[in-house]
Amino acid sequence: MKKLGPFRLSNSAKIIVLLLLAVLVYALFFLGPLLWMFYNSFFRWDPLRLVDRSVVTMENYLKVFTHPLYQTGVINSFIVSTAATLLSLVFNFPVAYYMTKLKSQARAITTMIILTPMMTLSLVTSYAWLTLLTPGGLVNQFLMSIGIISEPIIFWGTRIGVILVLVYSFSPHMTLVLNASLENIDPNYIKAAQILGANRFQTFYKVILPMSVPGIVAGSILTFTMCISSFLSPYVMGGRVVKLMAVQVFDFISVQLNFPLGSAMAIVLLSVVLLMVYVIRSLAEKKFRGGT
Amino acid sequence: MKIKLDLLKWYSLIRFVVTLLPLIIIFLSAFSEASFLSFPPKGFSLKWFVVALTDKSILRSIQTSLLLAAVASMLSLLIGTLASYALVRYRFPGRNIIDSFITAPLTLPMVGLGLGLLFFFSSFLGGLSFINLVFGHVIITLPYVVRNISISLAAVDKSLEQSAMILGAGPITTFYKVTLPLIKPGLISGTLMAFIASFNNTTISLFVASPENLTFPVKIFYFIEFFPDPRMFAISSFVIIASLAIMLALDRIFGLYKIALR
Repeated sequence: MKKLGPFRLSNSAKIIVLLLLAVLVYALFFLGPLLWMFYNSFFRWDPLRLVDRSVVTMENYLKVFTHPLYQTGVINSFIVSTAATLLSLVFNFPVAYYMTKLKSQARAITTMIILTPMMTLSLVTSYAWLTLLTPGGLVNQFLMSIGIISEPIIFWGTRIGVILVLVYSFSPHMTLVLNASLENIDPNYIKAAQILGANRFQTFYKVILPMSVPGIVAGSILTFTMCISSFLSPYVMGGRVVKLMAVQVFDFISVQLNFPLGSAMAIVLLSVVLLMVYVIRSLAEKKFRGGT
Repeated sequence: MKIKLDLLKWYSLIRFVVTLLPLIIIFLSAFSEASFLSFPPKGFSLKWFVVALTDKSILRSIQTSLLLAAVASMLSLLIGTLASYALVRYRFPGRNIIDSFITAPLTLPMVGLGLGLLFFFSSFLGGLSFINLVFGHVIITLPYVVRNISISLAAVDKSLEQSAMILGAGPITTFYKVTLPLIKPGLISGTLMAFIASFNNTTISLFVASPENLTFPVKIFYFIEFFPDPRMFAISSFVIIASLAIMLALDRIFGLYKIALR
């Protein structure tokens, strides 16, 4: 393009001016802290100076994976997040499907209901669940009165309780992703299947389910990363009893002040999530290139 | 066939009730007479509302959170508008990297970010000041603004901007008179989402808010740790009603469904 006047900046100068603030903020308040944490995770903890930078060591990372306490944290995080993701998928798939059948007004209202866990403080909603899930609470009373259980289930400080609040907290994400993918299924396929004599179960199993696989995969990976990153709801429900990576990262600064070890654990957690995000990205790109 | 569809409907209705259940508990327990949290609530009284609304430290924390959310979302609006313009209107090396960097803070674990920020601030940038807290929040509010504005900006026909330029308007006038009015929905929804994200953010503040800048969610966190009584639910009822009002407004103006999928 021809320059129109002497005062016009070149394109590259414009881009630099426009992005300057964002790059500066990200460098100082995002990349800087992460790199600083990464750098310090290779040193020893020092009770006086916090970090002793005289010797470079891998022992923090070794500790995360070999010390029984932190090993439990890593394993628990994976178990709890996987279980919460699967449960979330099963609980929310029917709702996501039901929402595709609604008219716009009803859709708006149901979307709003589905989004409430996202818009309210997860601390408070988790605590509300806690009051319902006490041994003498409403949920246990109900389950005992209909005879499903004879002893109250303990939810506080157990993995079951943590899994349940995680399912609640991240259902909006799962439902919306599933709903978006179900929305894209051409209703003609469903009609065609029915005309060809498939019953509802067959239609679901042979048409709807296979066609919603991209949504299921994307929703599951998203939910998994949210669950494994989550600290507040698991902390309210599990306290420090259920050992989880994210809770332990917080413990390192609130209880032990062991910055290097906390950093190493945070770096492990960040790497797991980054890997997941990378998988989502490449899946999305594959789908895009496939032209579906 | 009819029965199966009904089953789906009933299941979904139950699922919606379960989603709203904690909110119902919060509202009802706030009227409890007891000094501990239980459900169903014991007795009926307004005393926890009085306690919550006369507790200066709670009101102060709400004030801090509102100020923080306002400053963080305004800064994000400024920085985000400029960045989105560069990202949508120009192609340059490193564009994809910057683009994915901008949304990265939302996908990474907040505890990791929080710990990193705390550690960084204790070594550099002069400790846990309010300004540092603001920028800790800008990192998580900017992605919302950039995403919303980018979508609006991509939908604006470039030829409108070019016509304005040909008619003699400078780049700043063109932006101000042509582009800005066209991307207004994106600006508003982005800023509102940024505001809510900052107001509700607990984890980052838990790490980097000093006792003088205690935010509302952090205050709630300490209530849960040390005195979990109905005052927490009483004050949360107000906050939830306020956020629901914002959600309703968003829905009225732009259609929540579209916003949620961004």
